[in-house]
Amino acid sequence: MTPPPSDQRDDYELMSLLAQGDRDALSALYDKYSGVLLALCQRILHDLTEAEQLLLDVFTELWLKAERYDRDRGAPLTYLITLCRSRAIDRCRSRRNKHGKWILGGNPAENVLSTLQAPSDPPADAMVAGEQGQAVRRALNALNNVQRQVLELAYYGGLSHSEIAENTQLPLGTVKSHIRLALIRLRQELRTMQ
Amino acid sequence: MQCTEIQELIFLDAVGAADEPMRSAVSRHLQDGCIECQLAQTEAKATAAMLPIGLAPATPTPALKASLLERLPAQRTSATPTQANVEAKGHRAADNRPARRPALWPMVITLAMAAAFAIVAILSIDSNASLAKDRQAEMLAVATLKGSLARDSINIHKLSATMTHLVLAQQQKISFLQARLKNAMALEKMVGSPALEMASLQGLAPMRAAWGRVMWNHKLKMWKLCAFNLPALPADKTYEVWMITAKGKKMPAGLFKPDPKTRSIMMTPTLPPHRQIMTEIAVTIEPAGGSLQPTGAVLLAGRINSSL
Ligand SMILES: [Zn+2]
Repeated sequence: MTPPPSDQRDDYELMSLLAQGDRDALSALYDKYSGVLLALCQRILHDLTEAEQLLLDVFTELWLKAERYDRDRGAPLTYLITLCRSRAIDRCRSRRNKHGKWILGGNPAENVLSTLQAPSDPPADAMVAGEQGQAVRRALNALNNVQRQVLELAYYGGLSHSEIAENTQLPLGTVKSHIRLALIRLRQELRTMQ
Repeated sequence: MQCTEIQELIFLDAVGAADEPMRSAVSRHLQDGCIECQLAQTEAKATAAMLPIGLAPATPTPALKASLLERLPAQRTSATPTQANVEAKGHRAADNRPARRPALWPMVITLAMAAAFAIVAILSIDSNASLAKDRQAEMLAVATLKGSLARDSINIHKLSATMTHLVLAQQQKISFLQARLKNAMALEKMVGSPALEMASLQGLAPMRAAWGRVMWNHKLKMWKLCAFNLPALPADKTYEVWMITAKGKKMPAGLFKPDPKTRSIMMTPTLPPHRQIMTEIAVTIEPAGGSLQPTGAVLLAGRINSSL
């Protein structure tokens, strides 16, 4: 048995084939990235069933609206992650509307690191090379707890900077600078890796 | 809004923490065509999108992929997937019911196939993951590089303007120092030569406290006049130096104003155009711009005897 031929193609080629209606291309992208995307959905929604449902919706949307991807605006994985996060946060917001209050995907005080630790026995089919994951974790490790928490509340909690300030009792300017410093640090680590 | 402020907002927006007015401000700015901020946004978004890469990858239920492929319309249309068609295909609805478990046999077969795939996939996964990683890294590197280049270009322009000013200022300073060095070297040569001659100048009423020295070197044809304790003058007045010949002809030899702090001066008297015997040197106060012949009283005077 041989692996599907599309596995050998790069993401840009896969996105281009996908836009032409190639189901194998979608299948290949799913094989490559469902692991990281599901982890993202689960991290935001804190519910595996809902996360898997969302993953299906995201890949369906990708299939239906592949032409929306603009390669000048970033790599396919960046697009997939951004799309996935955006849909997951939307789902959290609809929960908020339903329940009349914001339900964070987890405890806001929870340290982002706790969910960003490498698994002790990483799955052999981890789609994203460990090196990049390590660089991200290294960058997050270099931040202090408050900075990590602010980043988590924004990225995984979907809170605006003013909501974060309210939740953490930090001044608005501090929230902004924590986010800026965290991203700069992350960028530095990723550059070092390159 | 300035680019630096916009870029602050771009960071917030990249992690989803910007509010609507902030996003509008960024969007308006980018619509104005700011390439630097456009690149900063691409870079910030690419960086933020790396965050989930740090998460431990999850393993989707094996049947999930089959469900996905099953629910896809055969032809791509511009329709959005609706909850209705999702449910119609028999997939889990977005309520809190537990996941519908697949029947046992299909699951066993799926698992067996997955295992078989996995063995082969493991063999190729390194290169696939590596390709994906390379492409992602490459994209991020390009975005990073573009951002850096745009920023560098703007910085270079700013730096270039600053450097031009600095260079001009330095050039002026260098010219000034070169002139001073030239004078100092000439003075050293003049003073260090055995042909040096010197005479004193005395202050006369009402400037009795003033005094001076005049030095000359006839071989080098150089003169220097130093004077001290000179009162400051109003703007419409100047000191003027005179060379007086043996026949009593008074020749203008230059104007000066003393340093207001030290009340002193060192100047180079202008030499007469033709060779003649000088017997005296004198200083008067004249209207600003000087006079052709002295109009004021002699305030400093000294005897010299030199053939110029
Ligand atoms: Zn700008």
